[in-house]
Amino acid sequence: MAQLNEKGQAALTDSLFFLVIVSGLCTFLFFFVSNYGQLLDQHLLREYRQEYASSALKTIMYSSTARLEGVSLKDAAEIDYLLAYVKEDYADDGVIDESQNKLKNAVSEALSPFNQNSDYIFYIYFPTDSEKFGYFLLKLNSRTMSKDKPTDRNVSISGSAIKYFLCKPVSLTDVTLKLLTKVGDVSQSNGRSKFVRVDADGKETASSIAQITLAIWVPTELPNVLAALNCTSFTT
Amino acid sequence: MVFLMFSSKGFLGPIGDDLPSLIPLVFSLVLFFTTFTFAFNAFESRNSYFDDSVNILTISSSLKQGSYILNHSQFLESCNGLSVSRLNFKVALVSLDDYANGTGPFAGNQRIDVESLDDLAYFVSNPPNDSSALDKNVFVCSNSSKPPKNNSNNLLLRLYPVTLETHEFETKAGFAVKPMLMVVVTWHS
Repeated sequence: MAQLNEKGQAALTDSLFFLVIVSGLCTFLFFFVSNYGQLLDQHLLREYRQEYASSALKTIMYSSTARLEGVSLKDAAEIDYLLAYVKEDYADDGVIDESQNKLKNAVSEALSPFNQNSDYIFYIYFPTDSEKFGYFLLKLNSRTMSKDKPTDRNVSISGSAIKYFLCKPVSLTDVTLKLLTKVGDVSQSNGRSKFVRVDADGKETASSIAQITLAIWVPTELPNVLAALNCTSFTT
Repeated sequence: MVFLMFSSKGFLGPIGDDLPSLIPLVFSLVLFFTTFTFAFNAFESRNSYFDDSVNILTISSSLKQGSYILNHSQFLESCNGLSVSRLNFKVALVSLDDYANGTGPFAGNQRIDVESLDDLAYFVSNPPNDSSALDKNVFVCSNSSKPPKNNSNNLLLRLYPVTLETHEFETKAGFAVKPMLMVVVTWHS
């Protein structure tokens, strides 16, 4: 009889505590799952871009090119590796001028699958010959951003165009500080090759080791980079 | 009796008092198992994607041969040496020149359609005096008889520029190294 007057022990509070704990665990599990593998995903993407840059550099240098301008590979009577053609161009006067178009065409062709979603540079640098750049090609995706009113938060992006520039940077440090450190993740591939200069008799007068580099990155807004690297529009 | 009714607390019984606590308990269990199932499926899906990504890198590295392919025989030899399980793959070489300039099989459509890779793939015609039964050698390598579909499960696509030596009867000059694009596709059936 006394038991009828005693207060019943409700387990509701215990179950509510249990619900709170389970909710906390489920929230933690949900956030863990949503972030799972992001670093690995970025690493795999980086690996792919790095592989692509490496393959592209080899393709650019070892593809054949016709000796004469404007002649297709199929109809050319004389062909050579593009790297050999560039070396021959350099051998005459220490300047890469006649092969500029062929280099630009080969680079743009090798990177055509990445045209819309990547910018890149391709350069031939002589670290032991006055630290000069024999060739420096910059490709940018140019877009125009505009607002209806200065205070608008929405921005209109229009006029996507691919532009090529020939640049004459002062030094490799300039390229690194004014460009490569400002574009985020860069996939870069390097190669080395010996370039020689010859006199009119064909005797070697000087030789330099050239560093050939291809660097690719996701298009990034780069104000003043053209002036900083002394770039002019590429004209064929 | 009235006093007893006012003073007795809501006592239903030992089991009756616990019945309301069942609602949050059941809800907690449902929430936990739903979240666990979601997490498990998400882990499986992500792990499968990572395995496929690693496999496609392995396939590409094996077939690229240092981005320099000597001839069709070497390409087929690398293809036959591949061992990939539980994953369908197809690798084709297409002309980089045609792709970049929108000519040849890419005329009018500069997109790589995985369903028609056989039509886009580069081929080398055998010379008239060749005794082989085939009139052309197509640079395609696959471990599946059925082509991939654009909506195939877990379809992955990778592109790599490579170079290919061409035969002397293709160019006037004879030996030439042609820039190509290696298209690697993997999918689950």
